[in-house]
Amino acid sequence: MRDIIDEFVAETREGLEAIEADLLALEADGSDEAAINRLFRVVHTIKGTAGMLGFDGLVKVAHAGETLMSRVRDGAAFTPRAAELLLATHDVIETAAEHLATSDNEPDLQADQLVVDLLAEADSAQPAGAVAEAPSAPEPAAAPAIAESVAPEPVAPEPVVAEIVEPTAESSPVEKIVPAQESEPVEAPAPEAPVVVEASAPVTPAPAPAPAPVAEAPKAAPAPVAPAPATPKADAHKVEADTSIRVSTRLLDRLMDLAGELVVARNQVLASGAADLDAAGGVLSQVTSELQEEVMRTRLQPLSTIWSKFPRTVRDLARACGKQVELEMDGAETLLDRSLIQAVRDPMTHAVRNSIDHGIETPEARVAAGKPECGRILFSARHEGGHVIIEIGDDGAGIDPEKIRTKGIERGLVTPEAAGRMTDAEVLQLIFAPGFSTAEKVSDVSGRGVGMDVVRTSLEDIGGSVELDSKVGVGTLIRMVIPLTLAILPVVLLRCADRRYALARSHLVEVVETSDGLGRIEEVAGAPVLRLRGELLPLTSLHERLSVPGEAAAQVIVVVRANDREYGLRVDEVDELAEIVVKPLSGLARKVPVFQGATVLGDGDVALIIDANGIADEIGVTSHTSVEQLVSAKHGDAVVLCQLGDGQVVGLMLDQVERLVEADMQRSSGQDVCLVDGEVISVVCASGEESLVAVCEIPGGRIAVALREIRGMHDATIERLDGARLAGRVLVDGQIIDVLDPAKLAAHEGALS
Amino acid sequence: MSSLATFSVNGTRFAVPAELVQEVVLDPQISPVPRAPQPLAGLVNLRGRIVAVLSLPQRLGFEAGDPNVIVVLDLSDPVALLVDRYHDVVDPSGCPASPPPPTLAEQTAECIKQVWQLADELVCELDLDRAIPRT
Repeated sequence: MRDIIDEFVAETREGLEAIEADLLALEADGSDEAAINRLFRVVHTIKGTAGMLGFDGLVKVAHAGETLMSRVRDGAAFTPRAAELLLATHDVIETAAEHLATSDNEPDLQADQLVVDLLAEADSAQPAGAVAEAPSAPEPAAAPAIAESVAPEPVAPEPVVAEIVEPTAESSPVEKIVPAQESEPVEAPAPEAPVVVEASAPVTPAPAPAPAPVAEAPKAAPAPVAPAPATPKADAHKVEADTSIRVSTRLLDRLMDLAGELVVARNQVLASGAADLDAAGGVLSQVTSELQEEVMRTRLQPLSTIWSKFPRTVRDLARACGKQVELEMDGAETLLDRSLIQAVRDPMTHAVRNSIDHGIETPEARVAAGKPECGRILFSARHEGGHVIIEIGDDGAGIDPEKIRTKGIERGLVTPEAAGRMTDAEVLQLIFAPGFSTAEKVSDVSGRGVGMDVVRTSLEDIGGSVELDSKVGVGTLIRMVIPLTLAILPVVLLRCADRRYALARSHLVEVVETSDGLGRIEEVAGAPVLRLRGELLPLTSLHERLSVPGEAAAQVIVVVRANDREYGLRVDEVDELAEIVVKPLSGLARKVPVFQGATVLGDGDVALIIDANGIADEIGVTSHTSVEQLVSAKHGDAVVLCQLGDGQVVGLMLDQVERLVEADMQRSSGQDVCLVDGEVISVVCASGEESLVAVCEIPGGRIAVALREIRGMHDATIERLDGARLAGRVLVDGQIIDVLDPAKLAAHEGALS
Repeated sequence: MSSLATFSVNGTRFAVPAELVQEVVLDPQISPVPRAPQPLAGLVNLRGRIVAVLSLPQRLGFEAGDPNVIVVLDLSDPVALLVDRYHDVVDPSGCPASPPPPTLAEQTAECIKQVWQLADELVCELDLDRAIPRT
């Protein structure tokens, strides 16, 4: 029983998906008879199966819908009211199907009123022609198709075909159709259409095996074949459906596991190096690779699987907002991994909601702006360099950067100074900042407390990214860049305490070997940092993060980018680059925050995949200030906050600080000095309370600023000032902090190095 | 009552319904998981599928010996139990079953559904819902 219900649910979902587009098409143009017939057929099938399964409520609703449709089919006008009611019917059946996916019992459809309305509408619908005419021409849609198929009969080289086709094919293929057509001419003409295709198919290939007629065949063949395409075209997706079958995704996943395992086995065989396996090994290798590739392809789905839902979404939203919107799609056939397709759905829905709610203007406003009344939304998708690019564009009002700038400052996402310096393009990216929403007020359509930041994070979760471009008065374009597949992840393998770990290459910035003299490991108040080309990166080691004993042996540092920030990760060795199949962690293993999955390596060993964001969170590399980083890292000035001997908290610009070290300060010939790495350096700001110095490079040498303690690092924008000791001021957590200029301090205190 | 697959930990006989046992692997290659929460012993690669291995002695609160047999259970989220020795499948029908004795340590008792009194031995049937920690 469960099997039958599952089958029913799957079939119903497929059918509903197909007819939703037809309903919308009919709403625009009620005369599309093929669409009416498809609708009729789907609802009829649902009614039949539901009846067999004893789902009486569904039967009632489907029957009422069918009654209304039969009126339309018989020539009654397809009124907006009918469209509304049939869409409601679609939704009721869809809800029921969702319920039945997890339950054996039909839910309470609460559709009594709908049934009454459908029947009332059916009653009031008068066929355009006399009702009596209908029976005489029951199947207008199917008739032409048959006529075309039948037409070739006289032209076709009948005897040739009859001989070459199976001996059992006594009659011509065309004749075969006719009885099939007669057997059920009224109820379901269209499903028979493929029969036409299949039956006539032998006509084309048949001449090939028989040498004699070949010469004639090409002449004769075009005649019967030419009209044939008309039939497959008329019902193209039906034919396609016949060439594919439903397979459980679990089975596909399992197949992929096995294919992956075969790759491992192949590698082991090849590595064993047995000479007599050479030839067989080559074949095995090729077959394995091809098999793996093909199995991988079974996971791909066209974007149309989710896009097909959007015409309805757009229609409903546009109505709710009192706007007119037309949706166009380009590239719906673009293939994407099944899991990614699902992950793209919500961000797209969100973008479309935003477009309709905020982007596209009301018809009046559009006319006033000299645009057509009806707004446009365009979906486009294409493959580009190992990624899938999905764009959602609208020709609406665009986004005013000034509004965003003001909002950004209001929400405390940027300082007024920083906002003033940003270009319009940079300002627009603020939309993706957490806590930003441009909605003036919360509306039903968009703005339910989640903003574009959710779109950004959900795309980043799958290794993608999103950009936004907008011109006031012209429109807005959102571009999503999605990896081709989630299943295969390019990684770098890192070695730590004799085990290998994988790190996604999208997180890898570079590998630094300090023995090469590039980058130096130093300490800031006990915390290790990596100095690299003027940047100071927080540093941690994989040993420490994984709590495995030992220290990173060599000075190999992997620079990792996560949470919009970079940090250094010390490892024993960088092993190799690899492409791995990601497997989810099961059960308890998911609890470890620094892993995001596991994989089976080429030699059968299990390697854990490091969660770069998880490590960043653990070591406190978070993105509080990421808004500015996100907009443009170059605008932020990294400032080291420190406390002077007199208790004042001041800032030092990080790029001026060479080292922060503990040092003993001494007085020598009337000047404060300290000894750092065997070098005597003049000290400024000394009061006798300090134990640390910040060694700064200034024109003409080095100077040490005496400090009591380090308070931390901040990215902030320095407001430049020309003071006696100051480089400028920064705003940190609402406090104004003076930023010292070491060169001025040295001059001020007469300290010469 | 369906038959039970039995195995031992620290000399005590435990069991799970035999139809749940997908396979038994002797001396598997277990990859450790750094910072793994107890009783996760590591991960094992079963023909391309990565399965979490739970140390049953650790879960029961026993002194860990040197268990090196895994019993792979075919649950919705497959899991392997690390045990000392795998025995055989027994049919407990007709034998009396009792709740775990109150003298057991709580950590042990909560994992046991019932104790089957077979003719020549006692077999503790695991309560898998409780013995396998959920995330």
